[in-house]
Amino acid sequence: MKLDAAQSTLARLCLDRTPRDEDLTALGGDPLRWLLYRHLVRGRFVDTFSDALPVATRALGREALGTMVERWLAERPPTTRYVRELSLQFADFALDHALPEGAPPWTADALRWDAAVMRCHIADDAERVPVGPFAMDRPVVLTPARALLRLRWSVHRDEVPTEGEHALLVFRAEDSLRVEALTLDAFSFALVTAMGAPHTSLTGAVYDVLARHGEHANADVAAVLASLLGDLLERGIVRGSAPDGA
Amino acid sequence: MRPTDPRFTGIGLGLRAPLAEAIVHRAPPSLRWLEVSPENHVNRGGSFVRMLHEARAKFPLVTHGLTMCPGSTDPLDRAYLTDLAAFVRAVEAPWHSDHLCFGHRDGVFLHDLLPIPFTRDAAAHTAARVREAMAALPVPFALENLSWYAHPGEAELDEAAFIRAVLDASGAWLMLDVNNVYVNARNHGFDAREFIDALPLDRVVQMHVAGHLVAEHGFRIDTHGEPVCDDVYDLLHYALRRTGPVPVLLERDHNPPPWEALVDELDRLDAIWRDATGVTP
Ligand SMILES: [Fe+2]
Repeated sequence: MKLDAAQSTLARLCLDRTPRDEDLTALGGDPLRWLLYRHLVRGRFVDTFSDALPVATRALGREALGTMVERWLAERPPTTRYVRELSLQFADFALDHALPEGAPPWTADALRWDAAVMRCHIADDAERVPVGPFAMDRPVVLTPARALLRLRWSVHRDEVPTEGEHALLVFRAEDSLRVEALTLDAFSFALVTAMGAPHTSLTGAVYDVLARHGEHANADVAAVLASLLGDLLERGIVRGSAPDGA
Repeated sequence: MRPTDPRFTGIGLGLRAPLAEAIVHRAPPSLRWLEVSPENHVNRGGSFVRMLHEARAKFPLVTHGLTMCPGSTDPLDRAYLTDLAAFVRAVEAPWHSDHLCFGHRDGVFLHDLLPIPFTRDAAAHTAARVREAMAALPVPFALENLSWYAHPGEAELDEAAFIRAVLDASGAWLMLDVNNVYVNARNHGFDAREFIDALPLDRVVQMHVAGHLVAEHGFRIDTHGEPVCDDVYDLLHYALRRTGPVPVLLERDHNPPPWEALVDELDRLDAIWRDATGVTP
């Protein structure tokens, strides 16, 4: 068997929803051995996701997770060599498609939450952008190990989630390296979102958000801002500001 | 001349997150070095950076890749090779190894070590890719023999001849996985010692041992999740008698046992290593 045909056939055997007899015949020998490869490849993905997406797995159950994995492998199989990114690709796929019937209504939020946690957990935070001292008239430099998340269900907190509004800043704590979440009010959430824009100074971001909320700078706003910035700086979520000329 | 490094003698262990704390704080004297998979670390922050840093402060590191897939027909990924070379250099690995297999096709990664046919064409293709990868790496490169459960189509060569053909044509070294030899010998009914004798043993730079699962009808599956079996210890002794003092790594990637049980395995491997080589690491 040619190398090229061997690879396309075995890859298809592992990815297809149903193994094809003609592939088993082409590969030759004992079909059970080839089906073992299929079983090992597919089982490894399910195991990876039940570890990496714990809340979503609890919501879906392992069987429904397995069914989603089957669909993912057949329709949008993994294109990353890094195991740590597999759950992100799978979660994206699952969120783009109808979730299995009978899955609880918080399943999509669970996928979003697990993926955000994973993103923060693995984010490469080696200094690649210059960071200068914190300054209001410069763009803020935020840690890459962060994610903003709006959830309808309290999947981040409760074993049995309840419905509500949850605006979260998910981040990796600098000392423990554990991923945590801060609950933000609507103004703070909008502000941290605006801070993420690369070329907007912090002052500019504040005025943008105020304008969108129909508010003016006043003592209350200044107090909220000071408290939020203090918290973000202390936790290392704000690392400083982009230096002049950067 | 086979590459050697005085830091890499005796027994090593694969650095895995569930074992990292014990490796750093409770390592027995029999553990002398560690192996890391670049794929777990490159372009990543957080706990894995800290784990690597702490491990490096205590042990020398050698690198062992999972996804080069030299047998694949996809083009080699230059960005991956650049990142890999930088990582290998940064941890001061004495050599780098990866598997004689394919694992991705048309850009889809199957995350398994899949068999390639033992044909002359496949050997030539693989050797050419290995040469290309070697040109991008700052250290010698070794290929690992695979555990395989089925062979695609008809073989033109036996496995040992296939390995030799790839090594001869590429100039790569051999990472001899003794457990893989054993698993294949049991599953395909050949003699493990004869197989080892047929390999170019002067090209072995490092060995692996691991545990495997015995499934239905005695079929063996290479899981790296069980204790090393007695036959594999014996086969390691046999292989070391022939290669001389090459470093040996215990792979334990899944189902981590109590640390004391792993220490017992490391100590037993250390005793075998000393007895077979006549060398004190
Ligand atoms: Fe191995």
